Amino acid sequence: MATESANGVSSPELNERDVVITTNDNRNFTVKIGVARVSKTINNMIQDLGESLDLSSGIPLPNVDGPIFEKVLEWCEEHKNAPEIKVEQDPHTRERKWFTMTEWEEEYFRKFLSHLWDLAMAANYLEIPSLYYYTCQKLAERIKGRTPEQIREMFGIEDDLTEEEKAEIRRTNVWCTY
Amino acid sequence: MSKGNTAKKRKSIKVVENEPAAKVRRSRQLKEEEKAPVLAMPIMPYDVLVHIFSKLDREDLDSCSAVCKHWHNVVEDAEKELPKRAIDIRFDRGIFDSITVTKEDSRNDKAVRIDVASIRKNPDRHIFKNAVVKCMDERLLAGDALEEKMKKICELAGDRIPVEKFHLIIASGMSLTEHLEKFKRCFLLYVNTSKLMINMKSSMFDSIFRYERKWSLLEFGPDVEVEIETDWKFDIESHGRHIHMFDDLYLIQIQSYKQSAIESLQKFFSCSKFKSPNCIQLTITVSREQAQDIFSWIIEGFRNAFEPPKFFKKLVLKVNIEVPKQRFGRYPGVLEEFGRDPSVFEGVLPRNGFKFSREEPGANDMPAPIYCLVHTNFRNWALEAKKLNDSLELKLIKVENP
Repeated sequence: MATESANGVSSPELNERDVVITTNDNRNFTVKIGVARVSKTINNMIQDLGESLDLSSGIPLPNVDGPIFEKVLEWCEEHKNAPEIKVEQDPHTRERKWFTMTEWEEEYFRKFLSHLWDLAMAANYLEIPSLYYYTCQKLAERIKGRTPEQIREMFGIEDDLTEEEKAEIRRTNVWCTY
Repeated sequence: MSKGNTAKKRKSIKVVENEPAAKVRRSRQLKEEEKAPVLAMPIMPYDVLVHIFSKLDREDLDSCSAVCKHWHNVVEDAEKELPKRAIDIRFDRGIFDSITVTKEDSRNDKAVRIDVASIRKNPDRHIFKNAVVKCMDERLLAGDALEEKMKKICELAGDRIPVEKFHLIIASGMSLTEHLEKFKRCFLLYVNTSKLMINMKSSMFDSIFRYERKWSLLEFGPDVEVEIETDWKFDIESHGRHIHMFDDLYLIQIQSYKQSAIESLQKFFSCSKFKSPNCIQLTITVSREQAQDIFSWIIEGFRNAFEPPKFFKKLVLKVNIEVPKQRFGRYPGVLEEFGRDPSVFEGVLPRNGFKFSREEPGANDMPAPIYCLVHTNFRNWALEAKKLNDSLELKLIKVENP
């Protein structure tokens, strides 16, 4: 059964239909199309497949694993009807304006705090602007106001800069405070 | 760079392998002790890192740049798209002939002083690296040093200095014309900005505004929006003695001042001497006692303007409340009266030929009543007055159906 015409892709009935999505660890997720298409990548796949889309055999996602996709789906479910978010920046310093998050979103990131990097990667690959921008903001929030040492410690990054390189960074930056 | 990358990859993969168990432990730890968690970072694509970095200011980017080779390279490579540092530039005069560059930062204010003499020996371009000048001040004191300094900054910045808003404070009336001319030349040559704010005192405003030949000093071409802030007070003196406004002599003396002021105003309004007037706002602060007079002069100047007025887009009249109110209520502040009863406004109007209409509030969500004064000869021009909390805003507007 199967097939759904490409033209009908945006119809409300189609959004209520289920599609099976398979992650790279061979887990199958049955998802409403309306939820799955919050991801532009999946939406494009559904549209490209058009006539030949087999809703039951599913869409493979080779770059996302099950545990992360589960978290992503939680976001998509909440944001299936959300409007596109706008990225604004300061015209002079180019600094991007920070988004205000809803209580649900704040809670979501509190819950998955230790998966921020994975969520950012997955959202980037799946093209979910809201999740991608907000996760990046959450990561920026972690970085803000911290010293290089604190950042390394937090993200488990190895300090591979030599003393000479650090001295050079300090020299070329008169505003440096550390 | 490639060497750094491979090292990074190898390390990151190791981290990923250890992931699940470690993560559970970490998140539990976090809940228990609210500490910064260890968020082990996988190999992050350039785009994702740049996107995260674009949320940060330059202070944080400095920190990021010193985290590791990979991050350092990303910050350097994405220089063109990442946020810039906002700095202020001030010229110092006197014993320290220098330029002070200050960084706008809530966390720690930092100022770097560039000694003008030592710039030649030790040019530090890094001051202007990734920077945008938010505000630049000039006090128009010593005209000669200015050009040299601006030139230096230009050399360091590598271009005309990009400035968001240039602030010119005219602090001294001594050889004002000469200094202003010099300033104008330097400004147009070395500064790249679209906003110039000029502050001046009453005496300077008076000495510019009363002489037509000096008006060109306030013109900075069509690309620069000029905003002028001044106060305006007239002192009535007779034989060196200040005459109080309730003195009989006052009324006689004020007539001659008034006559010339209105004449200047009407020319100023017509701005026949301006080539490309681009004043977006002229703010005049007047004392409570003189508000009524000055306001009526402005209206008369407007009425007598022989060309459609075009110099400023907005004129804001502020009443200085610092001045204690006189016991004599002969010259009540314009503002209170203005809001209460439009007839007071009519009272200060010249009698002949003016149409006076009042638009009720609510038309475009303006809580304040708007008064409209149509020009006698150019009936599609009007002076629109709006009473704000502490000021009166006059706007030159085009009227659709006069």
